[in-house]
Amino acid sequence: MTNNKPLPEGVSVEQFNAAIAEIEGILGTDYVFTDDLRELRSYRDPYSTLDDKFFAPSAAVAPKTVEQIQKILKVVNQYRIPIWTISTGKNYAYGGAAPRKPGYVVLDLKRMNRIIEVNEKHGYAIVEPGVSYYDLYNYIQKKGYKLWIDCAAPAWGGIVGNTSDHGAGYTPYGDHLLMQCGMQVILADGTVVETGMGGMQNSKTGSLYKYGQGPWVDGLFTQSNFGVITRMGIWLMPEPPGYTPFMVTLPNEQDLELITDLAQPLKLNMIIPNAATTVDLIWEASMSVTKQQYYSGKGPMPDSARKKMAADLDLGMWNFYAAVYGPPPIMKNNLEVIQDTFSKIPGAKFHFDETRKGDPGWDYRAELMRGKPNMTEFSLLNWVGGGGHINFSPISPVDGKDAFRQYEMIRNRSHEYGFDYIGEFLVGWRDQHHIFMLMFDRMSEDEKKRAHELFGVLIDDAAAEGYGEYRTHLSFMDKIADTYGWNDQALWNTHRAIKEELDPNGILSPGKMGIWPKRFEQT
Amino acid sequence: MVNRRLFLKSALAANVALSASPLMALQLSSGSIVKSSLLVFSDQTLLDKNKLPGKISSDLVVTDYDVGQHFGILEQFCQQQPSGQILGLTRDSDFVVLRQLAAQNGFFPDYTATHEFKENEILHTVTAHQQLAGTIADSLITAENKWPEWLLQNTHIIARGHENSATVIRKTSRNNSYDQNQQGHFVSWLFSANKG
Repeated sequence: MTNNKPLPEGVSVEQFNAAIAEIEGILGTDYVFTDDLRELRSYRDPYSTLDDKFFAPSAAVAPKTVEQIQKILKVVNQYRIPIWTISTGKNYAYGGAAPRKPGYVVLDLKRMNRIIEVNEKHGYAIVEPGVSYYDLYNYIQKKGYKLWIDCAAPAWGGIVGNTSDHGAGYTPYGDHLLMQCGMQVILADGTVVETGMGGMQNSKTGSLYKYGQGPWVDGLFTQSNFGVITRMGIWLMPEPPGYTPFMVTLPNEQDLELITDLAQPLKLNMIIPNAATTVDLIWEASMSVTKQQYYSGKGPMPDSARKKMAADLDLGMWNFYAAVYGPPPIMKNNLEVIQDTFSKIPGAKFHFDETRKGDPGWDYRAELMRGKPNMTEFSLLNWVGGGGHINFSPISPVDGKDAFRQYEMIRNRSHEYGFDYIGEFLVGWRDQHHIFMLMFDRMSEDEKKRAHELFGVLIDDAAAEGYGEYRTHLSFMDKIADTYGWNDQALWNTHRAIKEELDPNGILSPGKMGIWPKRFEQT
Repeated sequence: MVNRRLFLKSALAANVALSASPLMALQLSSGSIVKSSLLVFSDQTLLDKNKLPGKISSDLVVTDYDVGQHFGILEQFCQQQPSGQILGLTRDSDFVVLRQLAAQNGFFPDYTATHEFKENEILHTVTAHQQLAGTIADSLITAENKWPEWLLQNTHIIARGHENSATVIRKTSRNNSYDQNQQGHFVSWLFSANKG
């Protein structure tokens, strides 16, 4: 049954086959995948900088119910087989559906795709892990509810997966974990826990108030391996009476500093209420053109080609996207404040729907800022052929000097290693997610090797300057965990202590975000 | 935004054939292969439906920047046509997305290829059954700028499963028959629910 596939560490073929047979007894054979040549390929990471065999699963199993998960947990506890939980498995750039180590069994929750409740009055939904942004959006449209979702870009991922990975969107509800309220979790021993107010019998406020009494534990189950989230409440934004997206193009690289400092008070005072973005030229351009159309040489695109591309596409070296929402008089007032503020930047140019509609870069951002899912951002992957990519994602203050410092640091390193800087700053309340999309040809071993080395150097560079990453690819989870090392790794030691307590056999997603059970640390 | 769907009956594949000898070899070997329903995704820049034979001219799903618009079509086809085939002539990013979605619905690649349009040359890199990969690549070269149409007409031949696959690269100089505006990196692919 293994066909030369990797097995979990310390598990014999006989034990593995026995466990799979027992899981087939629970799920039936249709939802236990062991064919490495076909079925399991979709659980590998096509974009890893390392050979994908380092993250190849031995099997994937797709339960439909909580009870089935409980039974599977019993089996894998018995055989001490590590499982890797995914909801929809679409977070490419961070590893997709692939597990941290070869041989894990993927616990694929895509079939758990019920939208349990959408409450229009109070503005929330309760969903299972297999519900994608498209699913929830289509459901709300069909029902005619006056609610918006806030989706990731690209939007084929799921609400539970993205939220529990601390993902972000683009409407005023863009901080997904902030908008999460209540979850159901299965612990490694099969115990089902409802968090927050949901911990009461017949709770009437499980999706309305996050905390209940006692510690708020929901965060423990995000970016972690302490349990399997099987249900989540998420707040939804009431459809506003008006919406006006806008873009400001900025002619110079140095304008990043000024736009960041000018945007900061507007964001903090909610004149700009949504998760705004400051996007570099190449990111924007790659929605409609490829690198080869402007530059066929090797290495990063030269300035002359960048300038021509910017002129052709009417883009800036930086492009700031945001929106105003509400009744027209409020939008008009806020837009005037925003226009007055940004007009201080020489060469800044405002763009609106009337003049920009039809441009793929504008269209997809305008949709995202009102919670309409699309897949256009994947066009980035065509910038160079063989669109491999991983994201380097340090957190920056909303401060011009910090933003420019990070940008320069990453741009210089990426050029040194022969890659373009392709990035954006996602402006939150008091931080920015700086996303550097490290693009490489996934068919080129040389480019993969260079990209891998560059990523490691960037982690070190950022840490030396006091910047840490909020999320990362499988390959770098341990290295980034090490950067959170204050006081002899006190934080990660706490994570490990919780892990030992809740999952003594170390079966749930070992190594997720650098949290290893003891038995794996020993091997 | 064009959003058309229809399923092609690949009986049309017998209608048009290029006369290149590699192709003839393929046709000779295809006599016993049963033809099945076909869904085609094509990037807007690759297949000009107006230049295709009449029977297929209105049956393409034309993809542009947002492949998400077409998820429903693919899922519905997979559910309704379990013995069908799905052909793609798309950007690489669309291939990756649709491959993942197809796999969730039990459809997997039988054939994949990349097509690189450089200033002076065109490169076809074909991964298919080892007995066919070289012949397919030769046929793509021979078909010149009609290579997308050639694939469309020969899906019943190139589907042989992904086991025992081989990768073959063929290069040709770029002559005037090719659209000079066509640049970059495209992929073609064929999915089916065939086991092995």
